[in-house]
Amino acid sequence: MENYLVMKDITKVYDNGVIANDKVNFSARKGEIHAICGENGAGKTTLMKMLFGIEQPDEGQITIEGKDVFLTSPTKAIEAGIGMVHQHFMQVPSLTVAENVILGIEPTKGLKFDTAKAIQMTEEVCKKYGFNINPRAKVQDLTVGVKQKVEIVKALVKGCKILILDEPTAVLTPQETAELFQQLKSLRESGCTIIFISHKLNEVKELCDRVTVIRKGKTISVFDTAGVTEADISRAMVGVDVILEVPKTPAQPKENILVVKDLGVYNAIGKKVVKNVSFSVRAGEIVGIAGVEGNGQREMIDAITGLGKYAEGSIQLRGQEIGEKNNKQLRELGLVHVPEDRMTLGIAGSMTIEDNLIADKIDDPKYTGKILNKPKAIKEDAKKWIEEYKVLCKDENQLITGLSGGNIQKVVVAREFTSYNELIVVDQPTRGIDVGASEFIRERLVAMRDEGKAVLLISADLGEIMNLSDSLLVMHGGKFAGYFTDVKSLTEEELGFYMLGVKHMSDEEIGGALHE
Amino acid sequence: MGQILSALFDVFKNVQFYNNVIAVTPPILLAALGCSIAAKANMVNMGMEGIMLLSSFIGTLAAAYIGGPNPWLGLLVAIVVGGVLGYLVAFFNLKMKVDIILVGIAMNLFGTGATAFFLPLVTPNADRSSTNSLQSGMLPNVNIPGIKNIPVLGEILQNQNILTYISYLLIIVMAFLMFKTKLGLRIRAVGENDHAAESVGISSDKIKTIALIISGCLGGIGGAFMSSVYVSYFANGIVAGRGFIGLAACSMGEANPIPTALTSILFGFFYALSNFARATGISDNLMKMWPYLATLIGVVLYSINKQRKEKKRLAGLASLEEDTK
Amino acid sequence: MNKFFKNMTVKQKHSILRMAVSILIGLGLAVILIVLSSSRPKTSLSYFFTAPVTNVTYFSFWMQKAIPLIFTGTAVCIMFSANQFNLGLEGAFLLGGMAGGALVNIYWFPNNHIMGIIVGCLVGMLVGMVITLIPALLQKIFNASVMVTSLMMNYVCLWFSVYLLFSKFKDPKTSKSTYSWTKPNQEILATKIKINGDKLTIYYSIIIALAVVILAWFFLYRTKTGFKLRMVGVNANFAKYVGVSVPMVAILAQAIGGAIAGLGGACEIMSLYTNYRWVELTGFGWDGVTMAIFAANNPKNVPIAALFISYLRAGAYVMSVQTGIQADMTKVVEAVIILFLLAEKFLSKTYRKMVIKQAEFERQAAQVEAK
Repeated sequence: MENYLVMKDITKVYDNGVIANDKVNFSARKGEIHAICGENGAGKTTLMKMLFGIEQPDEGQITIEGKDVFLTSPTKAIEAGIGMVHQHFMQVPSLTVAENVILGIEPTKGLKFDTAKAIQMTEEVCKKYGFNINPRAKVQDLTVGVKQKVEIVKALVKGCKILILDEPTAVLTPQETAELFQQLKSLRESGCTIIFISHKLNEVKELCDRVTVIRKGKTISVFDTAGVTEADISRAMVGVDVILEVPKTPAQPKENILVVKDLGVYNAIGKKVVKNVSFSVRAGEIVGIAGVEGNGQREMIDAITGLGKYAEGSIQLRGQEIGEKNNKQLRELGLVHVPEDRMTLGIAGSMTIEDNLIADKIDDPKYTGKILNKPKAIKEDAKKWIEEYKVLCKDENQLITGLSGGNIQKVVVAREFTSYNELIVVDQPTRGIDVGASEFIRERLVAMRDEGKAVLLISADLGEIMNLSDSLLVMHGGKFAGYFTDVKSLTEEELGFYMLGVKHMSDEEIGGALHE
Repeated sequence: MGQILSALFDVFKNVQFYNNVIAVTPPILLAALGCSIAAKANMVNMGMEGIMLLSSFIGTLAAAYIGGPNPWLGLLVAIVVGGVLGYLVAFFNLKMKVDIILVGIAMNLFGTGATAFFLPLVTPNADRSSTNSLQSGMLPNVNIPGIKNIPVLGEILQNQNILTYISYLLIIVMAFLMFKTKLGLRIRAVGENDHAAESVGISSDKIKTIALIISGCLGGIGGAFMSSVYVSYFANGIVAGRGFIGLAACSMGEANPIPTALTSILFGFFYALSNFARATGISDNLMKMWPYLATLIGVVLYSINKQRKEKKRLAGLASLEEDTK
Repeated sequence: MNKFFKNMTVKQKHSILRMAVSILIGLGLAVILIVLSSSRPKTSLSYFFTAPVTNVTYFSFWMQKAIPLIFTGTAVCIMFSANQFNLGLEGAFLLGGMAGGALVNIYWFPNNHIMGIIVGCLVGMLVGMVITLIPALLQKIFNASVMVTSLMMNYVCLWFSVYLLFSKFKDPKTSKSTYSWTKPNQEILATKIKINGDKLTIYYSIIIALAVVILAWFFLYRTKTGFKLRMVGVNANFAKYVGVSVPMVAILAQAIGGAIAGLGGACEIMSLYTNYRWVELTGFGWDGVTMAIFAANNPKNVPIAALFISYLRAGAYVMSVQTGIQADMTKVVEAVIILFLLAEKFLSKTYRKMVIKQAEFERQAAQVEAK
């Protein structure tokens, strides 16, 4: 069958030097649902941003129906018949459904904006494709599932022939997902080409005709979904970076430091995203948590580190429930945290390296007297830590934003590791930083473990998590899907099966994660 | 106390009091409407005070020198000047990346300074504090036929200045613009989620600039009101904080024209009360404090209500989510 | 000097360049306005640019105009350092002046100036603190916009003080209807000396102002609370994450700002007047914002900024008395300087060039080192 859309040899290099897409090839036929699969950061979203005109490729050509198109802005993409349903909905909450749908192509009657026409246009599309939405309702009063339908209608009303959906089911309940699939299938019947970005292989299998797998910015393979198993797709997706193995001895775990029992967390709109999980972290071990992003890790870590609330279950840090404690009290109990988002949470941007190193220790009598601080003591230790953690900088008075990503992360790690700690939570510790800094941080983590600290490691880098973890938990759909104590003998393929929901362990097996 | 209350009661029975409320509200109302269209585009027009001052000043000059005197020409020029200043606020914020509130503060500083500096240079007698030797003329009071015959309200509404009537008409015009036109829809969309607007090909900078220009034009009318309805000349500091009150009224009215207008009238009410205070035996200075104190309390009450509503809305959403499971 | 520049980053160099160019543009504008409007441009210009340093009376004007700017500038620095947009300093300055500067001295200590000054300063601080704390607490408890409530607070303070002045404290014997009782019979924080027929006024309040600057600097940069305050200003999420109680710090910053402004008001009254006479807002609260912008929110730069702006104002004042040009011209100049100073995109092309040049320089240096 003829290809409707062809993206040929697309290359995109970001300003910071990251090669997001490296000669990616992608094509889709008329009237098919085509999945794009890949791990976090594989380059799926970048590719789709280029198709929707948000980013421009550095090399390569996009053709639709054999004609070259140059998509320099979303407007151009919309004109070329492309619609996109973003992960974060592009909606104006206080406007009605109809107003959101026709935004950008507003019908007018004289001076007036033609509300009746807008409602009619919305209703027509809804009727044609079987969406049940009230065009007069305000978007802010809708559930996530309906909001998503509005996004699809928004694209359809502009006459889109190619519809991109970026992880559409991540926010949906199973019922909503089933309904969405039904609608996507009927869209396919009417000749629409649908590009479906997802991690959920069962969904890909159920819904899509073909699947293109992207790994590290390159096209790996294109399958007909009918001819492959979920395991096949998983194998193509999951690739482990070869990292320099950090040498480590077997762990000598001691008493429990962190005990999480039956933890349930709801997100801002009341959806349960962590579904009653239990585990513990003992002194002298590294517990790793693997999983595709958006499976509840974020909310679980926020609850453990005191940045978010939890509604059910208990979290005990050294025997004390953390529920109502503030960050200062948690730190006094020995919690330190290297956050995922180092630029917005991990550092104070327009302050010096010294300020950032001392930020959480300023109440320590070593650094402050009754009234005044002790600049000498602060400076001395800041210098010491800069040296110890090999932070490349002019001096301790340099602004932290002037450093490279790797060195910024070293400052964050230095601050957290030099504070009083019993439990170290590290979230994506080496994401986006250079090899040297990554290796250094991994070595420090193992050294901290050997000193008898409890370490909880969350990482999307499978090589890292398999190398460092003494035991490994895999999260899927807000629950643990697997628990491994013998990480060394675990294969990446096997890990992929659990991450992508192909395999599941029994409750008894996972129950082993909680040491009493 | 009883005396004061009965005196107050007398004031509230007095038709002239309500007539005065209607007359003193417009400049606040215009400032508030101006702030609200900017606020709808997510721009705080803190410079409203300065915009009103400058447009009043230049409007007066135009009315006196070109029109000799022609207050209508003054009004037109004031609107144009307001629009240009609104554009400048947008330019410095969007293109030069200066914080919008600081642009506003600079605009107010500029307005106070420039009007006072140029005043003696452009008046024949080198006046120092007001353009006494340079008259802008007064816009006429009008009697709209039929208004008189409306029961109760007729007496209050009759025989006002034409610009007063226009100002109240502008409430409806602005409500229409914001909620019934394509531009209004885009302004609201950009103000609430500019990513959403950009994703369907709407330039948020352009829409924000247009909103600020309209905001400035409304400020211009407010400025002209001061110098061609209340008095027939310009004086230093003639706006006297009305731009700021407008900002507060807009914040209380959630930038929606009708509630914003009602809040402005509430201000007008207290303003008029301070004009009539002598009759009640309450210090008129204490009464002058009331419009501001009332806003302050109003803003707080409004915030409490908003907090409660937001909680309710989230709870409602959560239960909806539950239902779909 | 050379070393001083060498240790700066490109960004710092560029911001100094931008400040210099902005000030030049402002002064250029001043020259143009004076030349265009004056019948005796040379005389006017000479008054504008040199008056404060040619005559002791004019020098006194300069100092007198600098002092309130130092107070409110420092106050705004502390609030802006914590990223709190409380604009209630006008009201704090005014009521601080009335309560601490006038009432304490008139009613409590008419004959004991030392006690009058001490208690006056303390009362001024307390009153100022209350004025800024009200909007701050309303924000904390009810989430009411601090900007709007603090703006309204200013006018509430104004009319409340005017009401008090007219109905409680007005001196029936004075010919001026707007003056309060006069007691003591001299400005207690100033001394006047005659030098060759010119009158030099020494304002002791400048000592208090400079002490406040020094204390504020030590507070922000040498105490743990000041450090936390700055962290909240730079990144409130980060501050919370390292264990700072963000709302408490935000309220504290506003309380301190209000206290300093109230102190400033008290000192202003005690230095300039023998009674209370303000019937409109002084404008020093807004000036504080200008000062903080010039000083990049660091108190140690405030005196320089205040001396710069008050120099212009004193010069303009003398010029207006002598040659009839309105002194308000300086506000135009200030506004223009602020806008250019804050415009991130102003001179952005030069910035790019500087960055490229620096990178090239570093590359060459690295090559030399490699050899």
